[in-house]
Amino acid sequence: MTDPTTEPMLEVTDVVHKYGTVTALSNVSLSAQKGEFLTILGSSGSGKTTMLRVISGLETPYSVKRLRIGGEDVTDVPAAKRRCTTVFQNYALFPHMSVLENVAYGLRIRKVNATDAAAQARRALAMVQLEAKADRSIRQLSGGERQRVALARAVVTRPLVLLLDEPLGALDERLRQDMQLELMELQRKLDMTFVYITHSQEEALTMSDRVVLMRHGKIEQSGRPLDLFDRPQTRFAADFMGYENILPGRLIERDATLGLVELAGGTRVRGTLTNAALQTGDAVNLALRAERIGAVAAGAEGLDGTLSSKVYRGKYTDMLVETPAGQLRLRSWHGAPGETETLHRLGWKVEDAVIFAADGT
Amino acid sequence: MTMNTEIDGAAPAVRPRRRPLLRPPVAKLAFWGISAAWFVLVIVPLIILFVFSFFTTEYFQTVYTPSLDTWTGLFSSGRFEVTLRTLRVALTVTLIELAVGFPFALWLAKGCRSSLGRAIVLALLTIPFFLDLSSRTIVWRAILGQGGLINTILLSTGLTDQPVDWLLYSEFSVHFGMIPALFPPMVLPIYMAITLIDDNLLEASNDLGATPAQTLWRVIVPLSLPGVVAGFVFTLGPALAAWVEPGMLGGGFVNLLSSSIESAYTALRYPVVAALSAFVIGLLLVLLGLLMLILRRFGGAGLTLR
Repeated sequence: MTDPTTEPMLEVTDVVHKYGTVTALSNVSLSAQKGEFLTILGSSGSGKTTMLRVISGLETPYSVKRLRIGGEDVTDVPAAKRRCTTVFQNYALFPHMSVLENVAYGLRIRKVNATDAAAQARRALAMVQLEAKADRSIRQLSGGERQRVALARAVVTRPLVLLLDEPLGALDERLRQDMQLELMELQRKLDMTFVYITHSQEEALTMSDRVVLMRHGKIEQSGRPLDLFDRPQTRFAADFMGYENILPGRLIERDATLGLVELAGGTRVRGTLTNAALQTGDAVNLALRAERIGAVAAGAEGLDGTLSSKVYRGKYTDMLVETPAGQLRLRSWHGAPGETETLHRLGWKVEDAVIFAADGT
Repeated sequence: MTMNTEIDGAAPAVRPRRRPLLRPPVAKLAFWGISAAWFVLVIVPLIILFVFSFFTTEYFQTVYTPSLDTWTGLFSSGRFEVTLRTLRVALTVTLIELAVGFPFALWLAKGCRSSLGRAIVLALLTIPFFLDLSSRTIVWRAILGQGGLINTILLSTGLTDQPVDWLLYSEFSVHFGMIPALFPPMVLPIYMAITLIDDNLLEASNDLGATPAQTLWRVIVPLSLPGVVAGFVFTLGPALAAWVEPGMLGGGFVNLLSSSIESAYTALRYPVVAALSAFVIGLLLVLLGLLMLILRRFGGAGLTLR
């Protein structure tokens, strides 16, 4: 028996999957520890759902080097026998069963007697605050309640890994934020490994211990939420994490962490390198968040610019500024000093400007 | 039967009720219009039929004096035996259809991955509706008869030394003739019901640890029950009233209620025809009532906590 503290709860190495001639996953590997909240982030078609289906066993991969759940090799184990369950995007609740019967389903399948199954199912429902609706029909529940039933149904059998396929996608904004917090709490309480799929960077950043960003069936970047948020390593990652300004340039000088970039128009600015392998002379991109740019005094490091448009959006104001390096987007909170100042020169903190290789897209 | 359409609808408490498609006056008018038409076209003839069964016939003339003679005559003239035989044949055929049709419908709805294949099978299933039943049935005489295809093969291969005579003009041939004719009415409703089951539900069941057999019994069967009931009705009704197959393949040896009706009709004994028809309808209703009771009793087999 391997030591459960070091053995990852979920370990997938080199999955390749194809639909006909389309490669959905090319050599993807990931692992998650016990009690870890891992988020697979990506837009539609990135292969994130396929990845989840491969883990759950609903999809048999074209090839996989290693697929282990709780230290047990499950490559050839059918979905029904794997110790992981899925919360489906559309919940997939059984319409002919009551709430309680839905939750007890996995237990009844495992031949738990009816009394014990009902008791355990009630406990699971209590955990998601739905005990009072145990005898309702699924049809009588709201979207958020269905979501909770699906959660209770998936965790009642105590799986080692819980897979969640965009579970909050169908809920409205407010409910989604409440459910995010509830999910995190539930995960802590159960100390279960969660693998969560989403296309929303906000969800990924809020809930996860670790984020895996996927694109075209490959892992683009992975790390702690802040690493992805503040240190994107590719243009795609920067775009996905919401960097509004991505300026092309050339790396002129570098030390251990900082680099000097010559932007179009000849301006030289400093930024933080996200990849140690960058060489001086490389074509790079410099990315800036709109809300991290502000007015600075003439002569300070930055770019000269003239305001070309200003849009008031309620909580904040969006501005477009023309600079020699191209158009920059700025955002300042409504009421903040940046909003009314006249802009002549723009600047930012050196750690807010990130530099990564320009190759690829 | 509404369960599948309602999966998407949220609870009334969260979402305002969807506006009805037709505004109230139009909806009300349509409801009463259709009800009235249905009453005039379906219920009234049935009532007339039923009333006719209380008249009698003398010298080929209907006597319009109410009496129970026709009904008492019905049960004293050995027709009870005919009724039992009709019931037995119809139920046997329906159960065979169900046993063969359900797996077939399941395969067609969930197992057949090629949409072309599915389209071809569905087209094949509807073709019988375009051909006359008697012309389809009479072909079996040439195949099942004493000098028919099967007996010729059996004799020439030496498997038997004399023709097998129970193949035609027997209860076997009547069953045999009815089964292909009544296969589509059983398969199509079940196929429709199974198609409406979301694949996600089957995956969820699998994901939660169910074997295919458990998924079948706990998810597919309960959710396809509306289709099974419809298939049962569409098959049992025609089976009870079948007259082409018993006539052509029974060769006068298999007397069913339909042949009694026909002979009464040719003898112009309309009250007897009415009584027999009413009796068949009554039988069908009783059988459906029983089916509903059985379903209510055991329909919960797919549920987990009973």
